[in-house]
Amino acid sequence: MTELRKFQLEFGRYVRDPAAQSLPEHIPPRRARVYEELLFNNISGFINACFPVCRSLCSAEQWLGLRRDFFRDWRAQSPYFSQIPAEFLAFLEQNEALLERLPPWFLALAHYEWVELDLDVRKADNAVVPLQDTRDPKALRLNPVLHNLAYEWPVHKIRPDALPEAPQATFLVALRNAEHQVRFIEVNPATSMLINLLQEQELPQEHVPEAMAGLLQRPCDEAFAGFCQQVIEQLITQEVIIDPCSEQGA
Amino acid sequence: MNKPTRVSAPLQGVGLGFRRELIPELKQSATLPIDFFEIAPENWLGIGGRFERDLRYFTEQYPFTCHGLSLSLGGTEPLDIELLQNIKAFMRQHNIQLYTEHLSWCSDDGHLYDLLPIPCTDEAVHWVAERIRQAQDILEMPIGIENASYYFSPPGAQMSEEAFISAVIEESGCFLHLDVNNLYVNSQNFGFDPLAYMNALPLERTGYLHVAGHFTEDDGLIIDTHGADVIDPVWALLAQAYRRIPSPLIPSCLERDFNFPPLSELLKEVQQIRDQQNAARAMQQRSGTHD
Repeated sequence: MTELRKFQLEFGRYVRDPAAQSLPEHIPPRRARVYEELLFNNISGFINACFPVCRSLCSAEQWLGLRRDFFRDWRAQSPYFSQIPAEFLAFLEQNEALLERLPPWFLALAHYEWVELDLDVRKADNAVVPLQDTRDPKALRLNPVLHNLAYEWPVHKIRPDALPEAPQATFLVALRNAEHQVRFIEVNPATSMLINLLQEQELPQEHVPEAMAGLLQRPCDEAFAGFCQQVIEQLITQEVIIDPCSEQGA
Repeated sequence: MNKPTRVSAPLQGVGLGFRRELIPELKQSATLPIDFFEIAPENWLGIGGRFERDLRYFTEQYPFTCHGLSLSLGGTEPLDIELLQNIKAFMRQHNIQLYTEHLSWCSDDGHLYDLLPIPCTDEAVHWVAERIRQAQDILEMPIGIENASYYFSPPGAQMSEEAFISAVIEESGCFLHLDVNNLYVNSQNFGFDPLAYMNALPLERTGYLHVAGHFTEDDGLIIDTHGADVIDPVWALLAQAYRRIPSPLIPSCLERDFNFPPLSELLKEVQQIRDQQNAARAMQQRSGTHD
C-alpha cells in the first residue's frame, strides 16, 4: 500500500469514528475536529432534509446514532450529493441488527420519504405530457417518473401522534406531474395491479380488462370492463397514464 | 505527455456561483450584470424535473463553468471514469467549456463528500498528475486545479504546498485555478505570508479565479464556509493577484454557498471584482506589459 493510501485510510477511519479511533500521529486535535464536524454535518444535512418524519419519530440520541453508524460503517459509492439519502436508505436496508432496534414500520417510512426526493430530482428521458383525450389512446403509457408502492404499513399517515399499531396493506402511487410537482395518491389493490401490468408492458386500452380479469381470476364481463375503464380514466386525470406521443427530446 | 498550450478558456469577466436558493431571485431579474455562472456538476448532472428546467433556462442565456467536488483527484480509489464521462456529456449538453476541481481528496474507501488535504510528497505529485492527465484525456480539454483550504498539513511533506501545486501543474499540463480566499484562509490558519505564497505559484498558468467569504471561530481559526461577505484583506489579495496574472479579465467567480443576502448585495461584490479587473487591465495597458 502506498503512503498516500495509508494516510487516507487512517485519517478516514478516524474521521468516521473519532469517538472510538485514535487520531493519526502529527495531526493537531483542534484541526482534526474541524474535519470531524465539517464532514459529519455535511452528510447529516442531506439526511435530515430527506427524512424529516423519521427524524421526528426518533429521540435526538437515536437519530444521531443512526447517522453516526451510517458514516462509520457505510462506504458510499455515489459521487452525487443528491444520492446521499439513497445511500443512507441502503445502509438501513442492509442492517438487520439496527432495524431490530427500530419500530417495525421505520424502514418503510424511510423509503416513503426517500421516494419524494427521488421523484423530485429524477431525470426523465421524455417530458410528461398529460393525455388530453381520455378516450382510446393507442397504448396506455405510464408516467416515467413514478413509483408504484406497496407497503405493509400506512406510511403516509404516520405522525408522532399517530403511530400505527398493526400492519395495514397500503398501496400508493407517487409521481411527478407535468408541472414538476410530486404527488402521492392512495389507490386500491386492483389499481396498483393495473399499474404493475402497465409497467411490464404498454397495452392498448381494450386489452386491459381481459389481462386484469386473468390476473384476478375472474370473468371479464361488461361490468368489469366498465370498472377498468373508470380506473383508467382516473389514472389519466391523475397523470399516472400520460400521452404516449410525448417522445424523446421533448 | 499531451501538454495543452491554452491555459485559459476564452470566457472572461465575473461569475456567480449558481445555487438553488438563488434561482427565484435570479429569475426575476431580466438582465444580470454577470458574465457567467458556476455550478458543481455533482449537484446538477443526472437531475431532472424543476431543477433541470431551471438550469436549462439559465444555461440557454448565460455561459456556465463547472467546478467539481467529487472527483477526488488526490484519492487512491480508482479514478471515477463514469463520473468524468457523465461530466463530459453534461458539459456538452449545456455548452460548458471550462472545468476545474480541487487539489484534494474526498474519498478513503468510500465517498466522504468533503475536501481533505494531500500530503505534499513526490509520490503524491506523480499520483495526482497522472489522474489529472487521465481526466484531461477523457474530457478532451485542460482542466484547472484549485488550491484548496485545509486545516492541517498532512504528515510526511517533502516540499512546500506552493512547490507541490507547481509540480502537479508542471507534470500534468493543467492550469491553475487560484482561490484567493483559500490562500488567505490558509495563510491565517498557518501563519504564512499570502503574497510570498502567491508569488511562488505558477501564476502565468492561471485560468480561473475564486473569491469568497469565510467564518472566524472564537479561537481565531478561520473556516472556509462561503457563507459571508468577502473581507478587505481578501479584496486586497485579489488586487495583488490581478497584477500578477497574465490577463486580469480571466473568469473570476464569487462563491456564496449559504446565508444568502439579497441578490443586490451579491451583485455589489460581483461589481467589486469587475472594478478590480478593469483597474488591473488599465494599469497593464498603461505599462504596456501585456496585450
